Amino acid sequence: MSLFALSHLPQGTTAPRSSRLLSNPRFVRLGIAFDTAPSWCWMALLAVALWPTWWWMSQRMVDGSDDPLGLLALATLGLVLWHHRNSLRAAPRLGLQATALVGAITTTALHQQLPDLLVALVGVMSLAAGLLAFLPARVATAPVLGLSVLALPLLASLQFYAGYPLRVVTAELSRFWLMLSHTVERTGSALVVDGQLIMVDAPCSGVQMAWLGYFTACAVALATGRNNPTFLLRLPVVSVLVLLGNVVRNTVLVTLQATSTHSGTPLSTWGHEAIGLVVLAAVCSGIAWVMAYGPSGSPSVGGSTS
Amino acid sequence: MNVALSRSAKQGADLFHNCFVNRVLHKMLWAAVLPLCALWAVAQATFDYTARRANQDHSTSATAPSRSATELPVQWQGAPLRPLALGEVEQRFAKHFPGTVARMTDGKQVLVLRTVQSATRMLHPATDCYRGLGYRIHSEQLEMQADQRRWRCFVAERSTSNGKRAVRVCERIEDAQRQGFTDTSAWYWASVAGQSKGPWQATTVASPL
Repeated sequence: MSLFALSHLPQGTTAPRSSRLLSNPRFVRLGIAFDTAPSWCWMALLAVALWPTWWWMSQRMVDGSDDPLGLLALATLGLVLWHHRNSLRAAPRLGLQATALVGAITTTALHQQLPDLLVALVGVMSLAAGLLAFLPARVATAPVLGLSVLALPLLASLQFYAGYPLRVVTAELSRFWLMLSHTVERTGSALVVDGQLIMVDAPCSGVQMAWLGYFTACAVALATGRNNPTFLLRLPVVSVLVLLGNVVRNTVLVTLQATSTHSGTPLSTWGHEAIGLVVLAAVCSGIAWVMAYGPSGSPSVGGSTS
Repeated sequence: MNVALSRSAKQGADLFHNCFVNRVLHKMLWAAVLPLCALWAVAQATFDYTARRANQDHSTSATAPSRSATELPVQWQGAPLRPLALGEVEQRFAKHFPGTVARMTDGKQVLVLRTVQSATRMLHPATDCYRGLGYRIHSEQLEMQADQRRWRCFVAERSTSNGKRAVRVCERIEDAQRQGFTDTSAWYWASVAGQSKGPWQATTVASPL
């Protein structure tokens, strides 16, 4: 590989630094050893440097205060790496490699200076940059970055920050549908249906559905070889499908709850969960279809060699 | 080989050009800096652990009850209140909490009062804390209680060595104008938007079942 990489290069400007280095046989010998070291060694080194991030993420995943869905995203990233194990670049994309290094330094420096989630975000982004540096150029960068963000334990924070606005939007859109058959008013994120107060609660905000929707989008985009523009252009459809699915689920559940309370037979927990799962499956199937539709895109434009 | 090396030398001027010299320099930088990052984090973690241990020893030797600087109520629904030391749920509430935390009892129920001066993510919903301590949450609902205030209530259950432990928990956040919130996300946005003025007090009432 090294001889190929040494010879397969375009013309450039004169570089006294490089000439000096290349005239030093020790540098060349050491350089060949570094340049031919297996790619996984470099990725493992990056992962070790980011150990405080993994430690914090594992603590958050096992302490029960957040859903451990991030494991699914991490496993998918591992699967992508395994799938391309025989085509990892010996000549990594240097811009991404440098980004990963700066990210790892920043993560170490910011530890306990900024909120843990923010530091972990820098950590996982630097890992993603490191992976992308070594993955073949045909692997789109955007879904890999997306999966890295989804690997974070961010559902509890998303519920805190985005939960209420999402519930208000869902309750308002559900109100339009419910008005066809009921007397409905909205107070905050709760609905008063035929005089009965029904709360649009945390699970109804659609945060989990959004997580699974974006996860499906990233995973299917990588599996079907979508390039960055195709993936990014189709991403808004994911948001629309998640919002629609959430409104449908909420409308059905509120209708059933209002009806069942009047008839004296409240909706069972399993019935509640079954409806949620059916809508979730429909939304994720729709997202997978949108992402997989049409011929695979051309490989992403990346570094000069792979 | 010599021609290739001289060409490679020419590419070295651009640090991100994918030539032999640049690749080697980048990889050398990784090999030098990344282990240092790992070691720095180990040193930092060791230092933090030692400092935390020292703090724990200090706090256990000087029995610290509630961490509160605000005026506490003296009675709850007509019954007199007495202060208690923070338990595991409250210690979880108090972790990195930017306000005050007080734990009290009327003999039947345990009240946790958290007070903050500004909107913060650290005012966790009680469900997060109970889940984090291994409780299973169910029967979550809004409830209008005798005081005509709306509360968010749920049942938290977990298995212990003595069998099952279940508590019914109700919580509510109230601002300086007595405007109430049953949801931390709704409270956060109302306070950020200026629709609710602090200080805010989150009251969590736990009754054993």
